Amino acid sequence: MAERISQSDIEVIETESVSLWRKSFRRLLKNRTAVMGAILLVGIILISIFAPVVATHSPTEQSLRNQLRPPSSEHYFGTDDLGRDVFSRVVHGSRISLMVGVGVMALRGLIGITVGMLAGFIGGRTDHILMRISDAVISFPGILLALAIMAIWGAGLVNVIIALSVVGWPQFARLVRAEVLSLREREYIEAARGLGLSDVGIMIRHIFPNILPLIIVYASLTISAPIVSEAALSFLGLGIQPPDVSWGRMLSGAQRYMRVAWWMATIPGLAITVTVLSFNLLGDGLRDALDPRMN
Amino acid sequence: MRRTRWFWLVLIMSMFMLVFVVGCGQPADPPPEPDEPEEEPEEEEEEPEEEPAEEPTRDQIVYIGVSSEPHRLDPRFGAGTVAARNVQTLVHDSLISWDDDTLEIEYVLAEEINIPDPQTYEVKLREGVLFHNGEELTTADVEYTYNTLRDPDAAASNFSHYEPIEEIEVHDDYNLTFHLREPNMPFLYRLRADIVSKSYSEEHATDENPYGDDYTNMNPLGTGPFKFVEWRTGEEIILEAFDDYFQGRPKLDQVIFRPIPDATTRTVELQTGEIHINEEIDPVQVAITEADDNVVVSRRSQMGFQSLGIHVDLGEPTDDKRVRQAISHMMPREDIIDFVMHGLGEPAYGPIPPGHWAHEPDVPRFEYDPDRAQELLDDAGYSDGFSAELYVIEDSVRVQLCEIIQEELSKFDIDVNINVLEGGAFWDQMRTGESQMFQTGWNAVTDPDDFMWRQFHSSSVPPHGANRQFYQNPDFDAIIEEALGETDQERRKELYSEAQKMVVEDASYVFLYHHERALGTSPDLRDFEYSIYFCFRDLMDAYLAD
Amino acid sequence: MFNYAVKRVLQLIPVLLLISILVFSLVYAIPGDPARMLAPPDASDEEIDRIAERLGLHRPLPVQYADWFVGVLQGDWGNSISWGRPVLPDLLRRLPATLQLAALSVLFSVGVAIPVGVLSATRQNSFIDSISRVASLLGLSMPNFWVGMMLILLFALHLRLLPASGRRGFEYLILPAITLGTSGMATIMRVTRSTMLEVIRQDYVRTARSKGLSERVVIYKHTLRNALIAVITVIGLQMGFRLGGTVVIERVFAYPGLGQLAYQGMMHRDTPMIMGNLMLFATMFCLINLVVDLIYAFVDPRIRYG
Repeated sequence: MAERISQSDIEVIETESVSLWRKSFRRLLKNRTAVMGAILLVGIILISIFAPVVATHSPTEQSLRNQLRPPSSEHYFGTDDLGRDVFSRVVHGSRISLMVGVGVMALRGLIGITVGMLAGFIGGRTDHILMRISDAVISFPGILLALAIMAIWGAGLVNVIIALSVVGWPQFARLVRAEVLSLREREYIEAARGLGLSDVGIMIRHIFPNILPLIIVYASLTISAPIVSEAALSFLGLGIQPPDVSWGRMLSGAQRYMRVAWWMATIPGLAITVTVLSFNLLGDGLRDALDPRMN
Repeated sequence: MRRTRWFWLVLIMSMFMLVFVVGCGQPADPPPEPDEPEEEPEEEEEEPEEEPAEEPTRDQIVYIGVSSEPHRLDPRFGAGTVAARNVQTLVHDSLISWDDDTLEIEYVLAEEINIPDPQTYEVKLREGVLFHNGEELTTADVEYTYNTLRDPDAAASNFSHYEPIEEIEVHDDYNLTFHLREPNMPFLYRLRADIVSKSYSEEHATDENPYGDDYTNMNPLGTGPFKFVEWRTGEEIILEAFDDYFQGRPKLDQVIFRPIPDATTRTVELQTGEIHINEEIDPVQVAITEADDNVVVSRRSQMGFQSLGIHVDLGEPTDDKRVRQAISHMMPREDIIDFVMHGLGEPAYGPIPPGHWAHEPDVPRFEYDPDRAQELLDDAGYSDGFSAELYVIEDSVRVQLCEIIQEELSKFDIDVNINVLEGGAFWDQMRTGESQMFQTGWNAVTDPDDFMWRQFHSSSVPPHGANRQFYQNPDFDAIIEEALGETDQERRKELYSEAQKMVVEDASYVFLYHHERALGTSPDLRDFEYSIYFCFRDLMDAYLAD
Repeated sequence: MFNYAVKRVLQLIPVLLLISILVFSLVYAIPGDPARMLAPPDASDEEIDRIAERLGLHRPLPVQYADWFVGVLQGDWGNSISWGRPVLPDLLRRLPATLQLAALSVLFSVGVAIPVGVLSATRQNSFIDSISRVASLLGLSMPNFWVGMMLILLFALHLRLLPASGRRGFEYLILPAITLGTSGMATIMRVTRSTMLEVIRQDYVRTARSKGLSERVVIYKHTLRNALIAVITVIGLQMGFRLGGTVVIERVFAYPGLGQLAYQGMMHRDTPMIMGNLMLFATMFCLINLVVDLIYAFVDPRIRYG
């Protein structure tokens, strides 16, 4: 009996939330800047998926005699210190840069959401301990802790993603926790609890869908940070390893050539800017659409 | 929609401006001349005690931009790095010195050196040489210095250089004799260790720190042309002319070292006159800097080589000499010089640089030859390539070099995985003796034995020495053992020629290039020449022209 | 207020303890040989054994931690491997330089971001608003070593207005502080703008406006004050990011602060130096946020009991 009622109860909530999503989506479509951001982003993702098709040259093929050529019809964005085609490298670099951004956000999200939900929902001592731990982690300058981790574990893509995730999750956790705290006392949660749903069940079926919009907005607004941080790690010599190519690595490699080949630094720099831009425009739009209260 | 139009307009404009501003900083247009005369560094603020401005000649203060800061200034413990040598060679004197080009010995603290046999070195000290604290230099100081250096518990720099000393016999205040365990010709060059004051070091020694280096590393004291004044870590190291220097007071009043790690920043500082010497100009920026009238660029051979080391005893396929020779044939040495070093260096086919008396030009030359490389690989049975690990220390030029190696080897289906490691981790890795390929170099070669023994003798495998490629060749060992004590210079040269041919043939090292250093100085700095061996020591005769 | 301050200080203790545990476990508790990490790069196996013996690395981890932590409390932060002398005095000597740089960069960020944020909130979707949004996007996406290098080339080499490196007076701080402030500026600008917008829409502002107060008074008296509270929080939270930025920026500008020391420590695998830097940076962050929270409580009395 109880089972049946709870089931229908949930369906009501779910249909409500579905229509909420649909409404938000419609609102998003009306926001031209956000749509523009989405289009840009889709473009970037397509470029990274079809990188081998888009690129005009191999991203790693060197031609020392053709080094440091300015942009031309042969090399749209010029060539770098080892005579590699900067256009093709930027195109291929999007893969690792996006992978760093998405990978780090996913890992940060995984840790942050779990910790935040547990802390917010269970409360009490668990909350206290978890929040103090995230206070401690948040206290370290991100780059420095990431560098220390890289110095100990070694460079490379996987370690970059892990190191940058280790340092950024508490912000996620705090955000989620605050939202959970305000949701916890809502009626339908009380109702679900009254119907005998387990804590885990409530968290997964009721709390999570409700904090999802917030998570999406936060993630889209901050996903660019790891992409830029990766550049700093590469600048300090502990980032992506060759022959892997990322925008951060290109930028850091260009640093010595800033005075002789502007395109080497400017092109990957602009690529990062455009990506940050598209994520931010979309994120702003999502925020407006999903939660009209904010902004 | 009006609201978005502005946004896009501004965005696009600013992106263009970004490109424009960046583009403007290019050498396509000649570097702008400053209208005003070159700015004086701000010594007045710094040194209120300096002579007032009415003084006819300018302040004789030279600022040197160096790439890294030393850690230990006491030459007994910090002689291993160029950063520390920069300071030590001005604050201290050694028994001897030598000419950069001819390697001819010149006496400094020594007045005379006799070598009755290659196991006995008799030194007569110059009299009346004063330390910066006013005490006179005696044989006790020399004995004390060398005793620290050869003490296995002291963990001093270059311990292996001084290990051959069996006994130091002091005759009187000015005469002493080094007795060696075995005949050792290169030991003459070991007499260049900077001498420290015994009484000063002992004054600061404690039970826990018997050599007093906890103090002397921060406050060195020697007999050199400049005395140590102050070290503001991370900022500057200030040295001052020593009035009672035995060769006469330097013309310069002060020499100030400023650590500026970034190569571009350092070059900008030289171009704007904030420093008078840029220790090392990035090869990439040599051309721009040479175009600037405010800078004089000089080049000096580093008297060394850069190489790719290959482990010969780590199983297939690098244990096959043909594979290693094939790799040597894959190296585009000329292109590396032209496009990575931008002309700073020349291709290397063997270890000893041209210009050195022991240089052997007639070694097997594994020049760039892809066909020959493929042939050798086919012979060895690796037509389909293999995969390999390459280790390199974090440094932009070295990593660039490894990227080229990676690319060239990939043309033969050899899949190279580059491991870029920071300094500590790199040397850890080297010490394991299990690095299949690694990029290292050697600088400032004096006696050929220096690196021949350390890098190729079978007793030098890690952790004892630098034979990280585990090269073990009894014939080679016999030759350099004989050469070590050989007194006849011609015979020595023959022996080392033989040895060079062997190491090149066996290709445990793929020699890449003999590198040069580009040094930038202000045109006002006169009578100064940089030394690969003694760094800025020549500043003792230099001055700033008006 | 006093009770709140005491409570806040007490809260700091478990956090600092956790920080020290994290720093300790980074070196001691992860796979790998701590003795090797604490030994000089060219140390022999015997030397490494001696170090393991001396540090008692065979003991259980909690015992080792307690031992290490007591040392930290007593000011024994270990000896630097590369410098061969105690870590703590060197760290403390460099501390003022980094604090100055961070403080000036905050001033720069705030000085630019708040006026622009206010303007852009009051004239939503105008030209100025667009400029500020673009600038904040650029600020977020440009890596700071790149910004620093551009500033050096422009202001030191081409215009010859400002020095490129060192720390011999106030003018030496300008370029590094601008570089460090650029990325933080973006977030502050955003926060100022959005909180202002939020507050402007709120009831009491509307009431104030309807009472006939002029637009300017409404903005500055009511909304800005509220926006400031949010900005202060952001500045506190950004501190970690800012202090981390010094690692890169101090290197570019050869600025003698903690960041360079931290970087050198990493490059030489100078473990005690790395640990010391992490401890000091994290402690600094906690103290700065303590101050921020106290200011916060002072500005906004409502949260005193929170």
